[in-house]
This record gives sequence, C-alpha cells and structure tokens, in this order.
Amino acid sequence: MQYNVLVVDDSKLARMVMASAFRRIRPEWTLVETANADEALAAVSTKKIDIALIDFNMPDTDGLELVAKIHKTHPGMPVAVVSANVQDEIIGRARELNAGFIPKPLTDDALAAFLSGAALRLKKVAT
Amino acid sequence: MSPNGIDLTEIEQDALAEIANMGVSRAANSLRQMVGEQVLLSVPSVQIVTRLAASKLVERNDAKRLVAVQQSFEGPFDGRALLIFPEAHSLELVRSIVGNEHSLDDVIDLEQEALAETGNIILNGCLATIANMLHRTMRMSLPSIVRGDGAILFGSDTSAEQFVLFLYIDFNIKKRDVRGFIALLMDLPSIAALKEIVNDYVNSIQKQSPSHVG
Amino acid sequence: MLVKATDFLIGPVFDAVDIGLVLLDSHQCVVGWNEWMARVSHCSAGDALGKNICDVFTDLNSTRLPNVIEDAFQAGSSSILTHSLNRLLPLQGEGGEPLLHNIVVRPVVAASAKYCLLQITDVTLAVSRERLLRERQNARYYAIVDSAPDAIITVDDSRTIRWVNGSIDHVLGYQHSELLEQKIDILLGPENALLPILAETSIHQEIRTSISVAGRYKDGRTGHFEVSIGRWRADQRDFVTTIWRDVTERVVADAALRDTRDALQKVNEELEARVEERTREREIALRQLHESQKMESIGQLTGGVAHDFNNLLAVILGSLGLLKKAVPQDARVARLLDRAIQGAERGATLTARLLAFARRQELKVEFVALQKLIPDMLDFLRHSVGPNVVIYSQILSDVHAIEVDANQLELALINLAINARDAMPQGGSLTIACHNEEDGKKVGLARGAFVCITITDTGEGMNEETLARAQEPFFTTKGIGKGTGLGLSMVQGFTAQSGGAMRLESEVGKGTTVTLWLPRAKENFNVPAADIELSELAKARNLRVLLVDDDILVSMGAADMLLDLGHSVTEAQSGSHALKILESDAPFDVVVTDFAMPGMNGFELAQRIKERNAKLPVILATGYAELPADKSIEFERLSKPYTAKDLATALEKAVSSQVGVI
Repeated sequence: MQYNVLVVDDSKLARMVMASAFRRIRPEWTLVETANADEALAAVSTKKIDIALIDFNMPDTDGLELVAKIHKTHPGMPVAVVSANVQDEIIGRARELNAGFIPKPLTDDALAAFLSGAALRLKKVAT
Repeated sequence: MSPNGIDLTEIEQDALAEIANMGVSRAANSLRQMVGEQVLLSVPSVQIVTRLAASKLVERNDAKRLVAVQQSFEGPFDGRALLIFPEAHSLELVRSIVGNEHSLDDVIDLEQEALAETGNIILNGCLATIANMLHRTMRMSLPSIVRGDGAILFGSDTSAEQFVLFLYIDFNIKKRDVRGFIALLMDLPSIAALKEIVNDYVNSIQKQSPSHVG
Repeated sequence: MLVKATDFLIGPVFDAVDIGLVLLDSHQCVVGWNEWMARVSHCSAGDALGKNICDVFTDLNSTRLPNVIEDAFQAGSSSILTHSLNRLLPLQGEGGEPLLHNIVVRPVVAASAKYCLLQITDVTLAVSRERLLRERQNARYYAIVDSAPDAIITVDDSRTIRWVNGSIDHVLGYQHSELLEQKIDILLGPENALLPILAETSIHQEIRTSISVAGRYKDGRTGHFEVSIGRWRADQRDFVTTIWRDVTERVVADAALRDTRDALQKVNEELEARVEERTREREIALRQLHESQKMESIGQLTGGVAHDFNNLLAVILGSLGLLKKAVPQDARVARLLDRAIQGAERGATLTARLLAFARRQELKVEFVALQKLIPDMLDFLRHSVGPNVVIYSQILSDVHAIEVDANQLELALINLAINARDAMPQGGSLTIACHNEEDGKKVGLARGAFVCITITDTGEGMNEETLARAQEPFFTTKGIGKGTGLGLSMVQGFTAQSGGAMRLESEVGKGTTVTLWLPRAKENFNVPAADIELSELAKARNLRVLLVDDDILVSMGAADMLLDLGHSVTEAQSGSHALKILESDAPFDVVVTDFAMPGMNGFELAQRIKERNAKLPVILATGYAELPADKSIEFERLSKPYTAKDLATALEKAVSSQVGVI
C-alpha cells in the first residue's frame, strides 16, 4: 500500500530530518512538505493525504489546533504531533485529539513505529 | 552584518533555530516538573549580532535593569551563555516556579538561588541539545547571577568575544508571559567553528535523502 | 570499577570535608561515597558502593537528578539543584531533622573514563540562620505591624499585593490569603486618589502625607480611608507599602454633621418664611378687620338713615296707594300718581340696597332653585344689559337649591349684570354659571356644602388696586351720575348675610369674574306657602287689629291700610300702652307691632303677649333685621315698607295659623 504523508514544520531543517528518516523507513510512500498551517490545510483539501505529521511549536500556530482542524474534515486520518516538548499536558492534549506523539529529536524507531501503526489503521478502515 | 561575513545563511538560521527550539523545549520539560503546570518555551528567531548591538537589543522597551544567569562553555566553540530578563520579570518568573506558599520575604531570599537554577536548566537545555545534535561534547560551568544594564551584561571592551548568537525566547509559565533572551557570546573563531559544525550537520542530513519533495 | 582512595591525603580529605561527595560512573553506579554522605543518609559506604544511585535512594526517579546526571554524561552539563525548587534526597541532620541541601552535578573525566560528581551541601544552617535573623527582625517588626489597628499592604511595581498584615481582616474584611497576588485595584473604588500615585515612577523616595482614598471592603461597601504611602527597595526591586486607616465613621459623621447643618439651615429658613407669612396674614387679617369695622360704622350710618327714610317712604307709598284708589279715573291724575308711586318705589329700592349693605335689612329666606330662578330672569337681564352683550347661562342640572332671599338674589344678579355691561362699552359676553361646592373652607366659610354662582364678563377688567377697592361702598369707577357705587357692596352684604361670601377675580383686558358662595338649602326647609291673591282676601273676615308703632305717621298710614282692607284698628304708641289695652280685655284678633321701638321692642312685646294670651297672633313689622338668624320664627314677620297686599297676606297667615292650632 502506498500512502501520502503530510509533514508540517516551519523549520527547514526539521523537514529535512523528517524527510531523511522517511526515506529510510518508507521509501515507497510519498512525502508532502508544508511550512505552516495554511499550506497544510490547503494540501489536505486539494491533495489526497492519508497521514499527517505536525510540528507542535510553530510561530502563530498551535500544532494541536491544526490537528483538530484537520480532523474536522478528515476524521479518520492518523495524525501525530512531533515535538521536543514532551510535557504531560501536550501529550495529554494530543491523546484527546486522537493523535500520536513523536518526540524530537526524531529517531527512526519512533517514526517507524508511528507509521506502521498508521498504515494498519488505514488498512482496517478500507476493509 | 555583511562586512564581517558572519551572516547566517537561511539554512544555518533555520538549523540553529530548530536546535535552539529543541533545546528550550527540553528545558521546558524539566521546568514543568518543578512548576507542576505546562511550561511553554519557544525561540522565534536567531541572529548573529555584534556585542554592542546585542547590548542595545536587550534594553528594548526601556528595560535597563536586567538580570542574567551566566554560564561559560568550552568545547569545539567557547564562550559565555547568558539568559537575560528585565529585572521586573525575574521575580515573576521565580515566583511562578517556586509557587505561592512562600511569602514575599522567602521569595526574595530564594530569588537568587531559584533564578540561578532556572537559568541553569534553560541554558543547559540549549547547550546540551546543541552538543547532542552536533555530536560534540562540551564542558559547562555552574551558573552565576549578573545584574545591570546591557553594557554590564555584555562585558568589557577587552573581551575577545565580539559576536553574539542572539536568540529571542518566549516563556509562558502559569499563564504569565515572560520575554527574555539567550545570548551566546563567542569570539570569531568560535562563531566560525559553530557555523561549520552546523553546516556539516545539515549536509549530513541532506546526504541521507538524495531527493525529497519540498 | 571501585576506586580506593590510594593517595594518603586524598582519602582522608575526601572523608573530612563538610560536604557530601558521591561519584558515579557512566552507569550511574556509586563508586565514591564519603563520610559526610554516609552520616546524613544513614547509609554506609559499604552499603552504597556499587549500587545504582536510584537503588540507594528509591525515590530518585521522581526528582530531576537522574536526567541531570545523564546530561552531565552526554552533554557535559554542570547543574545545580536547589532545595527551594526541588525535592531532593532524604538526608537528616544531627538531631534527626531534615537536612536542607543543594546538589551540584559535575562531569568528571578521569583515566579517560567519564564520571559524574555530586556535591551535596548543607544549607540548613545558612537557611535557618537567615531565617532566624529575619524572624528576629520580623518578630519585632511583626509585633508592631500586626498589632497595628490599621491595615498595611505592600505592593510591587505591578500593583500586585505582595504582603499584608494581620489587620486586613478587621479593617477590610479579607483573609490574609485572599489578598496576596491580587491587584490592589480590588480594594479601591472607581475614582480614587491612590492609583495615580502608585503609577508614578518611584525616582524619589519621599514619604507623602496621607491621602484620602475611597476604598472597598470585601463585602463591596465603600469606605473612606486615610492612606499613607512609603516606597522602598529591596534587591533592586521597588515596593510600595501603604497603611490604611479607616476613617469612614468620621467621614460619615462629618457628612451627617453637614447634612444636619443644612437641614437646620433649611428649617431656619422655613421658619423665617413662615413667620413672614404669618405676619403677612396677620396684617391682612387686621386690614380686613379694619375694613369690616369701617364697613360696620358706615353701615350703621347708612342703616340709620335708611331706616328713617324707609319709614317716610312707607307713609308716602301708603298714602299714594290710597289716593290712587280714591281718585276718579282721570288719566292725567293717574299718570301723575303713578309717577309719584314709581319714584317712591325706586326710593324704596334704594333704601333696600342701603339696608342690605348695612346688613340691617331683613331677608326673606326661602328655598330657591337656581335652575328656575335664573332662566326666569334671563329676559329681564337681557333687557338690562342691552343688545351688545350676549348672555350665556350654564347651570348644571345637579345644582342644589339654596336658602336665600330670592328678591335680594335677583337684585344682586341685576347689579352684577349692570356692572358687567358697564365694563364692556364695546360689547362682549356675560356668562352666568352655577355649580356645587362641597366645602366652603376653601374661601374661609364654615364647613358644609355651598352653591357657587359665577358671573363672568369679557370686559375691561380691574387692576389690583381697583380690585381691592371695588367692594368699598360708594367707590365707583363709573362716571358721576352713572353709578351709585353701592352695587358690589350691596351684593357683598347680601351674600354675607345669607351665610355665604363673594369673591372677585379680575385681569386687566381680560375680564372679571364674580363668584357668589351661597349655602346649600337644608333638606327639611319649609317651602313657604304661595302668595294668596288679594282677591281671595276680600273674603277674609273683619279683624280687630291692635296696631302698635311709636311713629305716628307710620301708624296712621298703616291704620288707613287696615281700614281699607276692611278691618277695625286700635292704635297704641308703645309696648306698654299696647299691653294696657290688652289687659282691658278688649277683644283683638291680631296684633301688628313695629319692631324698633324705644323701651320695649316689638319682639319683647310679642313675647309678653304670648305669655298672656298664646292664642293671640302677633305680626312683627320691621325694616331692621336685628333679630339674629337663629331665633325661631314664631312670629309672623312683615317687611317694611309693605304694601296692602303684603299686609293682607301677613294677617291671613297669622290668623289662619292660629285657627289651625285651635
């Protein structure tokens, strides 16, 4: 199965790190990079996005709010918040929004675990 | 800043900001344990400026009375790290970390210590993250407290540390917003070394993925 | 790898220092544990060495230490953990009390291996010494401060309350904890003098004198406070300490005092105004009294004259009447006689007016329905006022009947109509209206129901001065020969005698309204019998009349009248004379006596006669109304001057009532 994954992060470096790990873990999937919330929402509405990875700490945007917005139009989409901020409150909010949490700095293992889980969910829904 | 050629390229700026953000997030995680509530820290921007410019920048909004937690660092690059607040905010910050059960007297007594530790956590968060990300080891001193205006904080003219890696930081602790700065004072070789290390890092990541959809 | 203190100095020094030293290897296992540490942790080196630090102190994972230690290894960070921000290790001092300590974590490299050194410093002493010092200072300070009757509140430069003394409870109603961290604004009313002062930057340290502040208690009420302010610095921070003295009571008392003073002043003013008013009223009353006294004397004068005149007129009229009958139907003579009679009658009218004014005229009080009387006289009124004046009449159907002399009322109305006409030389309108009034107190009359007759014209009106004098007798603004000046005073006299009042209102250029207040008829007033036509009286029998009058002329006139009516007459000149005649047992059917006689007056005579002979009817003939109104009307009355018809009617009445009795 091939999926399209959206990554939202204002830091080019972070996107590069993400892309790099992505290549290693799921080379057959497609990665769509966006730098802010507006671009992300546009991508979600115009392209077919299956999975989203969202940076928590972006200027003028609360990453978790973006998660909520995406879930309004795409309730079943597996979404993860990516952040160095591993405080209980953040993780708790992510859970409430039915989103995963991947800590920064990104490790291949953490990303792989999430993506596998996401694929599984999507498969279940399809059947 | 062009004359000296110590500009950060876009990608360098990006990288440093990202690293700094991760650094302060890490610090925020630590602080959260103490505070008991969510602590938000972020670094909106990073730039390299002269010491003089930095001393003016920290005095914005007419805040001439400043307090700073200072640590020195050694490693692939050397320098001084400063966490700087307007004095009026520092008590606020300490109070929000310390909690309400302490009286005014106690807080004033505690302020020095608590500020030192808080600063220590934040600066360590940044420095350690930098060290980790860049796969380097460093040595850092214990914190000390300095009070004064921009000129006092950024040191005498005899200091070789001419450049400042200047980071704006935003705090939000217990619904209080505090604005401050982190300044890494380094001499020219250190800045150059830092830049080199950052570039290496960026390149290494780029190398890992021959192409990516941007 | 265990480390032994091989160097002979290092080892003892390691265990001699007065701080705790713990060395950890990269697995966080204890490789060094000094004496001090063993003492305060109650864990010997033997027990600690080789174990992971988290096993030595089981709660360590809930502290920052493990992460900090990790950072030291990985990043080379040095960290400080203070007792004030962290819960650290369970260490105990000499006496078993908890040991307050700070921990410094440092990476150490030795023999190319990474280690982590923990330095544990006892800060209890320092802390408690500081605290003790502070407490000692504070004790004295608190003793003053907490026992102060006033509330003491310290704020920082963001107006946040940082400290309060114990008195805030009884001064402002707040608990200690309720105010800390609040902005001082919650204690202040909307317009207060304190905030601006706090907002001033504190360059100068001057202590201001206290200011008046409108503050707010916890329960929301406003209070007044005297607040003194002092600025101070600690640790390069600015604070402001405020001392609040509640002066609400005083302010309230002041305000109350002011209010009382104002009220007192007002009362004073009112009192003065009232005194003025009373004085004015008194003056008016005095003036009125003076006026009425003046009226009295004038009245007396005119009354006397009028009475005499009346008597003369009676004679003239009587004789003329008889003459007319005796004279053959000579047209010229008849005309002359008529003119003479008219003249005498006019004179009678005049004296009637005078007497009414003098209030000595007797009124024939009867039941009068205005709804009938006024419409009946409208034609006559219209003739009197002429074609240029339009008369309107507005008599409400529910207007009560009144007790008045109908003739006098008519005369009054005629007088007023003529006055109105004279005030409207270019013509105009005259409105006669009647309505009920429930209470005569409005115009100073006795309580009870009245009826008001208002006569309103659209004439020249009177100014204040004229209005004041209008009721004076002989006062007239009409030209010589045009008015006697007696009209209004006559009307006034009539209304007063009827138990009512007259009121004038006028506006120059607009017109005048005269209001007559007349008492409402009582329910059981007798409706007098209708006049008996003279022709019927022709059938009346021959009466033996005893005529008593001190005036020969009048007596002769009356006697002639009686004879002409077919009666027999005996004359007496005084009451005593009459009584003598009656004693002689001469049979009389009726006594006709004048009222006003020297010695015994007619009324006394009548009473004496009644005593002797209740069956003998007495007729009182009088032009004076000196009988008070409340005397019972037991004797038939005859108004002088009277016509033969009047006389005959009176005789008939007197006699037939007697018959009824028998």
